[in-house]
Order: sequence, then structure tokens, then C-alpha cells
Amino acid sequence: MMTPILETKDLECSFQISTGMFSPRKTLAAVNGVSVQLLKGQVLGLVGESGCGKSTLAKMLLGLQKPTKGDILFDGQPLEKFSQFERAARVQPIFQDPYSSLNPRKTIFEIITLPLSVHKIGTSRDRVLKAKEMMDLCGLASRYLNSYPSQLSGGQRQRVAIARALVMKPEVVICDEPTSALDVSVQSQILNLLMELKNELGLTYLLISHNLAVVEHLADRVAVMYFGEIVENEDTEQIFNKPRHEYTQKLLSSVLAPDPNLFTREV
Amino acid sequence: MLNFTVRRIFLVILVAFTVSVIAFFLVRMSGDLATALAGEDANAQEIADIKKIYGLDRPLIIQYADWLFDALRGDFGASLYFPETVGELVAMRLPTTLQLAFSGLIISLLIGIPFGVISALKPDSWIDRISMSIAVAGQAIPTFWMGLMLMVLFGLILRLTPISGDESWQHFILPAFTLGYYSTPPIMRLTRSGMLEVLAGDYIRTAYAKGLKPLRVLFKHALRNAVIPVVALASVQFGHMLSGAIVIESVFAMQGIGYLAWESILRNDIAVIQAILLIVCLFYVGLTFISDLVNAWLDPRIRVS
Amino acid sequence: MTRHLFRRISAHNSILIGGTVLGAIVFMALFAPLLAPHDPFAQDLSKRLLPPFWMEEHNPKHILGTDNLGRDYLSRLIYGAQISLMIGVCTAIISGIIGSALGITAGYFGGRVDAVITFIITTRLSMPIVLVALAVVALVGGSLHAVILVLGFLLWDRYAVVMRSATQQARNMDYVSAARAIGCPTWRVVLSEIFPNVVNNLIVIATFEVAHAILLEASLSFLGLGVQPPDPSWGLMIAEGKEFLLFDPWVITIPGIALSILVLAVNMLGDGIRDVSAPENRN
Repeated sequence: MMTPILETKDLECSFQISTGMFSPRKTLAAVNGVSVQLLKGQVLGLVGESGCGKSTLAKMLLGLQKPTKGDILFDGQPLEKFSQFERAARVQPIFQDPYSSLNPRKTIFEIITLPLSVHKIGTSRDRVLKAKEMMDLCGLASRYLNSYPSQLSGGQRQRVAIARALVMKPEVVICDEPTSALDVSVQSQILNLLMELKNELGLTYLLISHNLAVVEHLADRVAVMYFGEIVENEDTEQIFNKPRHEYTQKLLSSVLAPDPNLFTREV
Repeated sequence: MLNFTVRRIFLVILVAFTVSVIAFFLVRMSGDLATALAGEDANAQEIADIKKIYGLDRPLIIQYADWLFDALRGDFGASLYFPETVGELVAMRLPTTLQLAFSGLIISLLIGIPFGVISALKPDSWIDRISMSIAVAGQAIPTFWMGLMLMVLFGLILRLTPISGDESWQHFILPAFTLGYYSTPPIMRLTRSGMLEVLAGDYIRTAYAKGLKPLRVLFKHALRNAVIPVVALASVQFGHMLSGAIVIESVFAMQGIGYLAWESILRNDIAVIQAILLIVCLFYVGLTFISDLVNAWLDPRIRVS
Repeated sequence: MTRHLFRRISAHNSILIGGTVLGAIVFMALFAPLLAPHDPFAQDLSKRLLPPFWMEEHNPKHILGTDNLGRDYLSRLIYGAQISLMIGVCTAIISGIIGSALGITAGYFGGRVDAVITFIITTRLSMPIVLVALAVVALVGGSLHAVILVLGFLLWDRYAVVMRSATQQARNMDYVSAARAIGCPTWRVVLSEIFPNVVNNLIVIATFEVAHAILLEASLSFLGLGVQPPDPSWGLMIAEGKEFLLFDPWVITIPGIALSILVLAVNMLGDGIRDVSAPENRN
């Protein structure tokens, strides 16, 4: 079997919370013993309700949150072996809210080329070219190079976020609800763009979403998360047609679909 | 709420302690107490003797501890210029300052709250803009100058009030007004914004819908809720008035601790300065504590942060 | 709708009026040697307490009269602007640096760092500024520099509080997470990502603190523990004129009006900037 490009082993992230002056602190496990694998070129969907720990898991994979236990492995190597730069060159995020994921005081050029600037890659001429290249790739007119985020629409901003994520040529992109905050009409455009880019650049996606239709459409495998734990992790078809875990079944049954036969499942 | 209060009390004690340390060391560094006590013509031997007698040759930490423990029992030492002990001095003068500060606070509330309410009832009307303009203009006027101007106008020209001193309640009118005036704008603004927020609330509309008379709605419901944050603010403003009393008491020659502090600073009467600084700081700590409690009671989110 | 429009116009008006008046005073201060008709320190005891031009026995050579030592009042007024402005600006810079550093650090790092800094802020807020300033200035002796340093090291609390909450808000934004995920070092995140988003608040607070410092210096000088004679601090001029309150009230009226106008202009400017950049912070 191939080495997964990104893997977690019994990953845990616990917080101490105080429950009062005189009671001992309680431990809350936001992520509890999570082991998932991402194979190259795959789209792994991660679904679950709000507060199940999806975002905490994403933060740990991005190096923004330290796990309290467990390992994160890139190509079989533990995360600690990589420098900030190397990790950043391997995993990049796309966030949900296009309004808070772009610094309102920076131009599109500055936003997209921030990774290059931070890691001192290329001259400023190179960076301009690179920025234009990325904007082209993501379907953004290059005349927006020196615009500010406030001058762009939600969909355009998300394209900027995608361009920024891809400029370091990462292998894995963590998409945290990439279309939830967009107009319905724009959502499919962005999703299509993501899939095109995946195929063109050979990317691997961790697609976090609470929108089951999106996940069914795009993901190869789906992991279902509940209270910090993965309760089911199967091929997409398997999850949607033959869900085994009780929670997965509940999740699927709660989706309102215009055609009730869209989600056929045998219980 | 109890949880919050207990935690706060720990914090308050810690702050009070820190403040006492600062008060002590700040003033102590201002001059050589031994030299001041010994007098101008003292020679080195006399100064050394004084140091021994007053325990000024001990490590500062010990002196601080001594001072603190004495202070907690009300013993603030002796003044260089007054026959009374510092404790007696402060006890004599403090009531004047407290009366002044309190009157000032009442005045600022009596002016600020009604104007705030009226402004909220008719936002952006001419009366709103005028009162806001007066507020803005008022904050630009130096308090001591305003005191002097009022003194000239009402005391000298119109002869309506006494000019200086603190014997009767009439003597407090001008100083209290001057002192209170500076706090009026923040109180006015807070009342105004509080009322605006409350008036827009759904439950007010329900009250109107129920057919309650507008004035009754105003006083019973709206004002009661809008005024609570003002209480918290008033607590803090009272502290500012204690501080502002230094200047006002000097202008109007009132025998409060503010004037005493100023005289003592000019004369390097260290024990007095330390005592007043400690007392005023403790007042501040206490007032801020009350203000925090009121705000936390009002906004439960504060209790968990 | 019109209310909104009116607010924007009046905000611009505030900036315009406040800025113009302030600009005029700054001009006056900068070109004092050229504008002042006399040397502000030149005494002439034969010309004591001459009244200003709107009164009868005035001397045309001294438009605003003279003080009790025969010094030309207009000249002292003009040079006094230098003192007020310098104190306002220098104090605002020092306290701005201290307060912003504390506030941004507390807001960005949170946790224990925040707890410690909040404790420091609370302690500072528990001390009455005037009293402490007086005590410290008495310690080092009154002078312009002493006042600037003392006030600079005391007036940072508002900066700290506002910068802290503004930084906390910015910290929660995804663009900060994105920058960190890119591998951006902390110093750069704070300076390059967060700071440009909180600097508006800084400017508004700075203008108000300039006014605050100007008024405080006037109080300190009035009490004799600020700028020392013979410097023409407006507060000091009021103190010197106190004795002549009854018969020559202009001696204290004129510098008081000057102070009020300057502070009003600065406050209007601050109000206007705040209303334009962040109208939701009005109250």
C-alpha cells in the first residue's frame, strides 16, 4: 500500500477548562484519538455537526494548534521533522469566510504573494509574474492585482484565497467549508474550480463541510466526526448508501433533499 | 456571580498591595527624610543620629513593612509641619474632600442624566446637538480656570456666592459645580446611548403596545435599565473627582486632603504625602471594584473572561 | 438616511474646523520668533499690567497688554503655544508607544501574558494621575522635560485598553490564521498583518490623549509643579495672574481661552477622525 501523503495517528487535542473556584479542572477533548489517512490525489471529506472538532483537527494539521497526543505524518515522516517553511510548503488552508480570510489593508498582490515574501522567494518582478499566473489559474482578472478585498465580491475573494493557498505549491489543501459563506450561484463555480485545480496540479484535499451534497459530489472518501472522534471512515458511496454507524445514519436522514430518492440508503 | 466576586476580591487585594508598594517607594525616593527631619543646618552626625532614631537606616523593605502595618492600624506617622499626627490630619480634612467629591458627583448626575435622557428621546434634534456641543466644549476648558472664572463671575462680580473657604454649604457650590462639570459629558453620553439602546428594545415596544403611558414606560422600564451602566461609570468618576479635588481645593482654598497633599508635596512632608496617596489609591481600587461588579452583574459575559 | 449623511458631514466639519484651528496654532508656535512682537521674557517693570486693546488705558505697542512683570502678553501667548503643543505631542508619543506595546502584546498573546498586562493596567488605573504626577515632579524638580516624561509614563492606559481589544478582534480573523499557516513569524504577523488594522484606533486615542496631556500640564504648571517660571506656559500664566483676579481679570482670561480653544480644536479633530473611520465607536 502506498504511504499516505498525510496521516494522523491517534491524534488528540485536549483543553483544560475550569468549572468553578473549588472544583478541579475538567479535560475537554476536542479531538480524541483521530486516525485518518489522505492518499495522494484523493479528496477526503470530513463531515460532522458544529463543534465536533473538525476545525481543531484542521488547525493541528496546519500547525496552528499543538496536539496533546498522537502523531501527524507527512509521507511517513513526523511533523516535528519539518521546519515551518517545509510544513507550509506542504499544507495550506482555504478558509470559510472570504471576508475575514483576506487582510482588508493589503492589496490582492500582497495577499497572494505573502508566502513568497515571507520565505524570500523570487525577486519582486518574479512575484508580480507569479501573482498574475495564480490569478489566471484561479479565474481572476489580473486588473485586480492592486485592488483591495473590499472591492471584490465573495466569490472573487475566495478565488484570491485559493490563489494564495496554491502559490507555495502545496501537496495538501485543507478546505474548511470553502463555499458555505458564498451565494448558492457562486458555490458551484468555486467547487468546480477546486476540482479543476486538483486534477491539474495533482493536489490532495481534506474537504471539511457540513453540506453533505457538496461532500457527496466531490469526495472520494468520507470520514464522519462526532464529538471529537471519527465514527465512520469509508468510500463515499459506502457512506451515503450503506451507512453503518448510527450517527451517520442520523446525519444523512436529517438532510432535506428535493428528491427523497437522491439519498438511497438501506438500513 | 459569586465566583466572579471572589476572584475579583483576590485581584483587588493584590492591586491594593502593589499600589501601596508604589506609593511608599515613589514618595520615599523623593527626598532624604532624614535630612528633611534634621533641618537645614544639620551636620552629618546629626543626620546619622536622626536616621537611627527614626529607623531610617534599616533596609527599605523593612521600613515599607513597618509603614504598611502601622498604616493598617491607622498610624501614618508624624507630619513635619503640623502638630497633629498624619492620621489626625487626614481624618480632619478627608470629610471636606469627600463632601466636595460627592456634591460634584451629584451635580454631574443631576445635569448629565436628564440631558442624556432628553437627547435620547430626540436624537439629532437641536437640543441633542446643543447639549452635545456644550459637553464637548466643556471638556476643553481647564477645570482650574473654570473655577477661577466662576469665582470672578459669581463671587466677585455678582456676589452671589462666597469666594473661597469651606465653612458653609454655600462655599461648596462653585467648587462642586466646577468639579462635577468635567464628569457631566461622559455621564450624558452614556445615558444617551444606554437609553437609545433600551428604547429600541422590543420589550419597550411591547409596553407601548400594551397601552402604558409613554412617561410611565420611560421611567419604569427604560430608565431603570439604562441607568445601571451609569452607576458603574459614576463610581469611576467619583474617583476622578477625588483626584481633581487637588486642583479645585487649591483654587478655592478649601481645607481638604487635596489641598493638604499639594502643600505637603511642596514642603516635602513625606509622611503626609504617602498617607494621602495610599488612601486615594485605595479609594480608587474600591471604586473600580464596585464598578466592575456592577458591570459584571449587568453583562454576564464579563464574568467568564 | 439623512441622519447618517448628517453625521458624515458633521464629521468632516469637525475635522475641517478642528484641523484648521489646530493648524493655525501650530503655525503660530512654529513661527513664534517671527510672529511675536516682543521677547516673551523681557521684563519692564514700568509697564506692569497694561490692559489689552479693548480697554481704555491700553498701550498700542502691547496689543494684549502686559503681565505683572511688564512682559508682553501676546508674545507670551504665542510662545506658550510651543510649550502646550510640545507637551501634548511628546507625551502622546511616549504614552502611545508604551500603551500600544502593552495592549497589542496582551491582545495578541492572550493567556498569562494578557493576565499580567491587565494587572499592570488595573494597577495604573488605581492611581490618581494628578497626585502621582505631582509627587514625582516634586521628586525630580519641575521642568518641561520632567512633565513630558512623567505624563508619558502615566497616560498610556487608554492606549493599552483600546489596542488590546482591537488586537484581540484582529487576532481572531482568518487572515491571521492564514499568515501563520504560511509560516509567517510572529513579529511579522503582529507588525504587518495586525497593526495596520488597529492603527486607526491608535490615531483617535492619540488625539484625545494630546488634549489630555495639554490640560494636565496646565494643571501641574498652575500648581507650581510643572513648567517653571519664567517659561510662558499658559497654565503658569494663569497661576501668576491669580493675584490680580479682581482688578485685572484679563491676565487669567486670555491664556484660559487659548487653552480651551486649543483643546477644543484637538478634540474636534479626534471626534471627526473617529466618526469617519469607525462611526460605531461613537459612544
